[in-house]
Amino acid sequence: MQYLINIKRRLGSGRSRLAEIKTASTSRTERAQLLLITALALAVILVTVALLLNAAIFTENVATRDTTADGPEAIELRGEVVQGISELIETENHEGSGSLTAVEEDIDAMAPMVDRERAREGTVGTLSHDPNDIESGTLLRYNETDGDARAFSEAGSNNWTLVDDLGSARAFTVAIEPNRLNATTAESSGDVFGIRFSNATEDDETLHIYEDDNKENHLAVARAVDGETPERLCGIEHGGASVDIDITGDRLSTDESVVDCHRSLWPDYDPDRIEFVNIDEEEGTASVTVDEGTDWAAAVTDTEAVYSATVDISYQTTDLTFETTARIAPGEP
Amino acid sequence: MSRKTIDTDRGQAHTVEAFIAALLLISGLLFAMQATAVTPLSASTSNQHIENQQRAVAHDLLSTAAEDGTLKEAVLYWNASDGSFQDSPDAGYYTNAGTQNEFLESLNNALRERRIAYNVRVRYHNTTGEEPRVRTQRMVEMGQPSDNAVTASRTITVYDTDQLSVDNGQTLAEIEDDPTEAFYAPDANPDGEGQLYNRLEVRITTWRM
Repeated sequence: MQYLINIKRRLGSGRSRLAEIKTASTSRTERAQLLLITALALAVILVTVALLLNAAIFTENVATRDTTADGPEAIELRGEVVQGISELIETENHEGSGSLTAVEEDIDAMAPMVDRERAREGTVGTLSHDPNDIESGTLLRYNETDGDARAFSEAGSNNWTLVDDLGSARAFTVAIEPNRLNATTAESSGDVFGIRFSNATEDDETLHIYEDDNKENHLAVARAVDGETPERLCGIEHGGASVDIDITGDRLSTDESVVDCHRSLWPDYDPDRIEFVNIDEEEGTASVTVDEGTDWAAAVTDTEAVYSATVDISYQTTDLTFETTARIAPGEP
Repeated sequence: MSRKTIDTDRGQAHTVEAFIAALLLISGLLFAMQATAVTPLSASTSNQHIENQQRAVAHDLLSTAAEDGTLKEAVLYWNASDGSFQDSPDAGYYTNAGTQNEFLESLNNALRERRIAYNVRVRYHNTTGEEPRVRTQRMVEMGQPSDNAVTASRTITVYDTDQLSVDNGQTLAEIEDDPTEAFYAPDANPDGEGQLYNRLEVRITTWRM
């Protein structure tokens, strides 16, 4: 009997151990499922974070877009108007009568056009001027009557003064026939053809123009300060055609090529007098626009011209108001 | 007791699992739809950058051309007897990228070779008193711009003494006086003593092909 009881007890304990084992294995399976779900949930959360981040970046991009978009347009309007009126003044001086009223009339005709152009873009742009702000001057030209090159010695054998008592000058250009120039080097160019600037207080500055001895078909410009050894500034290769030297614009050009002189050709000070010096066989033309009160050589042709115009430009949008006064004197150094 | 707890736990897990499966399916579907819908013409952050770049390219092209005079050459490349742009097809404007003048060539090099289509139109002031006050002359027409097209413009002023940039080109003032010839824009200041002729706004519309 005791034996049977023992077996029963053992069986009982065995069954309960089996149940224990069974329970443990089931709970482990359940955990795996939960782990899987958690992993998936984590994946979804990570993707959501990435999406939110992207959305935030996009929002920031949109929010900060075009905040300064009106600035460039205002500056562009100014540039466009200044360029338009510059060309207008030069066209009027060179092709037309050079009269103040003509320029004034054209600026008045241009104003409603500027207004209409901006109105189409939903902004307000105005152009206005005070008639007193258009200054008259004189366009001086040294050339043959048909605009051809003329020997510089015609106006004076060795040296002659182009302008004296100069106030302001702009658009000073000299066109030279390169085959008439002396060939030399920068150091020894002090004796060849040049353009001299001077005033009562500053050192004279002379721009010597010569054919470079070291290169073929190469016109060069060198500067001598107060008669010292000249220093080469720039040069241009040419095919024998006339070379334009834009002294106020620091630029040499011939045919299709253009060279910018990175060191200013015009002196740092305001010169009182401009002379042609060491004239030999050089031929060419010269042109300069001067303001009132200047004297010039008898050999040059003088025509009435507009020296400068001052205009008021304004640009207005919902976010920006821009107003500026621009003095337009094309080619002023 | 123990078995009962296990059953409850499982039900909850299944529910969460079902939700996540649904979420995955929907997000997968959405992603697939988005992925297939992205074309070079659909709006996106990168597309905005492309638009900005195109606008900058067109704007710079116009600025450069205005600065070196090729823009004026292009607007004055006009056949005054035929009333059309010189060397253009019967339509009177160019229907393809051309090498007729330097400006068209630069457009060709900068845009068309990168598969960017463009239209170029010239707006001018109509001062004859008739409506509309601003009219448009087509210069290059490549078709209908897409939704993501961008524009850039530049205004230049032309004068009575400007010559047409074709062989033996007359000045604009001469054309104005000749009844058999015509320039597309009228003289904005015909009675005045000044040289102003008109202001022309060159507008480029670009879009990706």
